[in-house]
Amino acid sequence: MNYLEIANSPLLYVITIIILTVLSAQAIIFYRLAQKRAKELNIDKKTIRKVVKAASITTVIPSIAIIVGLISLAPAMGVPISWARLGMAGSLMYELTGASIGAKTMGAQLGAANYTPQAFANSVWVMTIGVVPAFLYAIFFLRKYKKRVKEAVSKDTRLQNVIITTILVCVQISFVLPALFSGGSSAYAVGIAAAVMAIMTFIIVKFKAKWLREYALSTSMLMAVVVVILLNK
Amino acid sequence: MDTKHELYENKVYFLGRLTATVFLLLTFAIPVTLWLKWGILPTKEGFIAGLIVIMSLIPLISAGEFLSFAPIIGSAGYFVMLLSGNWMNIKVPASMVGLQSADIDPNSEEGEVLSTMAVAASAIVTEIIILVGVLLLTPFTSFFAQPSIKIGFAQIVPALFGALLFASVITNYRTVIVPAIVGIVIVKLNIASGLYNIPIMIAISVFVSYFLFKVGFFGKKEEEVNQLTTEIET
Repeated sequence: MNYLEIANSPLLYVITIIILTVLSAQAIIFYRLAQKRAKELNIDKKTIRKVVKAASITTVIPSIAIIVGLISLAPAMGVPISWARLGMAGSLMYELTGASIGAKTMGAQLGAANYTPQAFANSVWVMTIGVVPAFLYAIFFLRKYKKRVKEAVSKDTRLQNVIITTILVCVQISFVLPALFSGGSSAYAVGIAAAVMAIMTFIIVKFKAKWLREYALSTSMLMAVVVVILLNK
Repeated sequence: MDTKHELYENKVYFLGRLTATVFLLLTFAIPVTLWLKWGILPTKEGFIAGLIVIMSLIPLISAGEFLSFAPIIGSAGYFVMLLSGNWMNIKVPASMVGLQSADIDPNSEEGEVLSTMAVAASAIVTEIIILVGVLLLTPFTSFFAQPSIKIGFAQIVPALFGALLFASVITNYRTVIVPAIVGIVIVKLNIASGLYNIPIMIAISVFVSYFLFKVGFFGKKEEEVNQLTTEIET
């Protein structure tokens, strides 16, 4: 039996659907828990709606990128495993790295002719084991760490803001700099997205169009992608 | 701290740890099924080699992500993020944009609760979109296989962070200076492997920013500003 027949078997679809159902159920449970707490804190429904709407809109474009990842991973790993892995803990970059390491350490290349069922199994094991540390940190240390951070910076909320903003900016810069240095489409994407963001910020401030804020990031991403597509046509 | 807050926190951590443990075990259903149902297992040598490589990378990267994102996402939101993944490219930006759109301080309790709702909503939206992607995989495959479309969609992450960085620059340009200099040095001099860039950059930048804060680089303290304003007014 070809390993891809196994990789695309109905049983793996069933397991994937169970995993993703548990994941979605947890998200719903925590949403409702937070909703209840929001009521106790007298946060009005309008604010909640605004936050949820903005978060959902921002999610759409990068989620489409996951479909692109699915298309590149599925020919080697089968649809259900690619679907499960990209829909849960990890990210496309992590899953591709995990799958490739699994293949390489078996002397094969992901999706190539030498990618045997054993190499495929190794990819799956590596991808699965790779997320374990993140879970252990959260299960054992999240509460303690959050408490310590709060204690350390609670005396001065401005310091807290500076530290948190510094962390966020580091994440942003760590993606922007390599893209700019590598030039080409990635550099264009950074520049165009930043320019669109600038224009939208100007409109938001100048015309007091606060409602536009929730669309600013998605529009910037979309415009960058569209322009890069047109440039490469 | 009031009792209701403590009750909420206790519930979050109990449910969070429980769901995380159950889910983690559940993810092993895939490789275990491959083994028990079809007898597909990697060779011992290959498995150990794979384990060594992944374990020399991931624990440090995960620690960096944990230390960076735990302070900025509500605890309940963190557990949702843990299961659903895609932190940097989806969940963290979604939560930030959500809170900004309603002018909510991420450090407040309101911020903690609302970031959880933002992350949960984001997780559900992602799952729905991927489900649509799976259902329409065949037509999507030919569409996304076009070279220009493929190149375009590969740029979503740089575009996302380009836009976010611009927003950071105009909100508080001073906080961008240190990470930018540290980042240029790390990336240009190739000090660390790409995978370790982020935690190293964060550690150095936070350290430097802390001292700059102490010497007043980020402006005067709030009380001082208030005092100054009152003095000017009077």
